[in-house]
Amino acid sequence: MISIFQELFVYPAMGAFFLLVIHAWKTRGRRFTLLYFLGGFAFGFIREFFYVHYKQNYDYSGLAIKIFDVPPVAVLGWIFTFYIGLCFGERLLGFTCQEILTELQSTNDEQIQIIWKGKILPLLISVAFFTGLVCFAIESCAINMDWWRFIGYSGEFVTNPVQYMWTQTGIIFTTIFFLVYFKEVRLRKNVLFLVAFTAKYIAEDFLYRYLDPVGIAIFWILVLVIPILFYEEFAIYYMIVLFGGRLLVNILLIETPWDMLILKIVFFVPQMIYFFARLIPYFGIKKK
Amino acid sequence: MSKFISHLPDIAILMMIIVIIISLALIQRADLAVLVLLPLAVYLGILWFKKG
Repeated sequence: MISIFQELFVYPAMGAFFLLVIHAWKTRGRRFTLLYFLGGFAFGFIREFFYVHYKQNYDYSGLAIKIFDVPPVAVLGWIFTFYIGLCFGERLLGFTCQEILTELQSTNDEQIQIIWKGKILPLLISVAFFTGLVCFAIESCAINMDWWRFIGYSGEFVTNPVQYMWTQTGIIFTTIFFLVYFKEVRLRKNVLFLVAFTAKYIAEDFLYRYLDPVGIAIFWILVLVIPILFYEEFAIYYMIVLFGGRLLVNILLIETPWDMLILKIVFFVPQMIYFFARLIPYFGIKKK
Repeated sequence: MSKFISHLPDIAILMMIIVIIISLALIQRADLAVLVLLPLAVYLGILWFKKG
């Protein structure tokens, strides 16, 4: 049933999206804007398409306009979240994508990896962290407003695994974008990171249910090990998100209101502490 | 670049926050709005504090 309040979400979301397009066009130029917003739309659409048709955990019946059962406004929501996360990350860290682009010109592979670890990776983590925050707000609001719902779930707050998968979606899209936008960083290790992380994500959300017990054991080893093989800083962040978003939920199986409070605290507080007490002071402007 | 353009992401996130507050207030769940916006508000508060 279409939500009587759907206009409350659809028109402001479209308006906010166009504000961001204007911001990108005016401050970052045509190449960035086209790559980010067209690429983001394609990415978001493909993701939603697979979730609607193959995972079938979302019911978008509250929204009227759909393309192949995917509401375009949900796709705009993804780009909205990633882009604002990027803007705020740049502010907190004290450098922009355009400055990184200039810095990357005429550098060797070793310097490129230093920039990747010291600037691009912190930006990536900033987007991921912000994506988790927005997920909690907008998804929890949406399920209460009947804009959409999770099939088989009737709680008031979005669950931690959903926030965890949102966070990882932010990581995958932003990594793809960085590898496309910054041509110089397309080194084997960085590309391999994207491929391995995406494969882990797909296994985690789509293949998991088809595995036998031995397969599940191997799967958990991959989930725990793959992301920590590449970069130390990313490994720290990933382990924090994995614990709060996935592992603890498997321990606290029944989501009573008290459990829910604990789950949200464990998801957000360590990330907040990591982000503001380590990442920003270490990589941000104060370090320069 | 004008100052207004540089603040467009702030306006966009503010729009989203207002939408959530109004929406949940319409179904008499303003209490829920406080809870779901709390982590985001903490983040934005620290962002504002750090950047002055």
